[in-house]
Amino acid sequence: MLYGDLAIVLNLLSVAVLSFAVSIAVITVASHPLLSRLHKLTLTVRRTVLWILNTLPWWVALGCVLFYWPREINYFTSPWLNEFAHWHHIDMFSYTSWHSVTLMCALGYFCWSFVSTWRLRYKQMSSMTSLINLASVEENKSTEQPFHCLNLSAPTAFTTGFLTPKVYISTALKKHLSDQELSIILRHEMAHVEAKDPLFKVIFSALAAFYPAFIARHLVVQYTLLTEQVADAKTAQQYDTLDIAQTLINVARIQRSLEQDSKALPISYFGNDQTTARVQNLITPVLSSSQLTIALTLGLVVIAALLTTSVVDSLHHFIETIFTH
Amino acid sequence: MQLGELEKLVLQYLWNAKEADAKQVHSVLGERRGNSLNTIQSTLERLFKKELLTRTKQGHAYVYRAKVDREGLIAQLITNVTSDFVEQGEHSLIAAFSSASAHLNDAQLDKLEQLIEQQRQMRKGR
Repeated sequence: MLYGDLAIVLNLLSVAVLSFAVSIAVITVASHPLLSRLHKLTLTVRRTVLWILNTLPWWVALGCVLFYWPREINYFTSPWLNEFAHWHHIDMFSYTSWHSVTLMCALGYFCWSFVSTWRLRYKQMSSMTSLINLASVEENKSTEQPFHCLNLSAPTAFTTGFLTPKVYISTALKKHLSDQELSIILRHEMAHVEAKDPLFKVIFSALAAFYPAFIARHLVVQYTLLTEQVADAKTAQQYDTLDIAQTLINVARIQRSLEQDSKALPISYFGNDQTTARVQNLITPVLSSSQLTIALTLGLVVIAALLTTSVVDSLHHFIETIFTH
Repeated sequence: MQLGELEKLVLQYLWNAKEADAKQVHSVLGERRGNSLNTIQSTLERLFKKELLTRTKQGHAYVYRAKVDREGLIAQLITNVTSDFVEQGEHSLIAAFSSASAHLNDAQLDKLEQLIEQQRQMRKGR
């Protein structure tokens, strides 16, 4: 049994783990109305909402720790709130208690997650270095913008890299593009480079991975669509939106027409089809955000915070009627 | 999979020459770059271990051939970059210009193109 400050820290950590898990469950159940209305938000507001939704369990866990932080017995003016915010025996921690088991499970999960992610990222970084070695650096004639050209029969254009992302275009795609189409694609990819989108997508995906798979996937798909639409909007500062939309259609047609010829075709399909949503957003962009969707976001934040705080307290008392502290 | 500069050059040589032993590779690449025969041999060994080369023993020497062609290797590297913990279909490290899936058929593309054309006509009419 531990007593004192270290016991308080360990108890608060177990509060954080428990509230994190409960908030994941609460958000999973309550987020559906919001997720189906994300397209009604402007790009800036949608980005904020997606990051709030993705990081909400962490904020809720932090909020719960602060709420149950040991303080004077009459800290709040309401006696009910003082009683509610009081975590029993917070200065005692038993290694054989359920708090300890919770902490050990969370620590094990984080270690496993860290090691497997690090191995994967190392493999990816090594492959990216080799990819650069096998690509030839070329320059767009009209804009003098450099890019990496891959000798590949699959039509593809993409940006990848953590800190210094690079733009890649395959020879198969390049030879089917007009000068303007190539310039549009390069401008679009440069928008990803400037925003460091691959890096932020990795961070976003890592945070989303704590949600159940179907929610995590939905969040990442929405974030990917957002980054593409933001890059489209950046491109639209230099090129006509309809020309950008037409380029998207043309590239999709090239990918379809070369479908039979290319043995490396699967690598030209990075993810879900977002062409329709992007073309529609280029033709008729969302200019003002839906007030209902913003209200749903705020509602979800409040519900997740309040429900998690009360459920964590109830769960704590319920479990301790069965197990030791 | 990480490829060094010499490994890349050896691979490129074998993509063109089809097959060669360490001495042949050394006579073309090693002498020009100042690499010893040992360095070339260990480079070939590393590429073999990375499963990028095959080899057969002829006399006292190994004869090496490229196991994957240039395009196959690039495709493999892109697949490595996109191998992710995110579920299949969404690769967090890639931002692609077009991710039109095979599910998007010509009729749907025609419909989108009509929308674009309608917008062009509306602009002209203003």
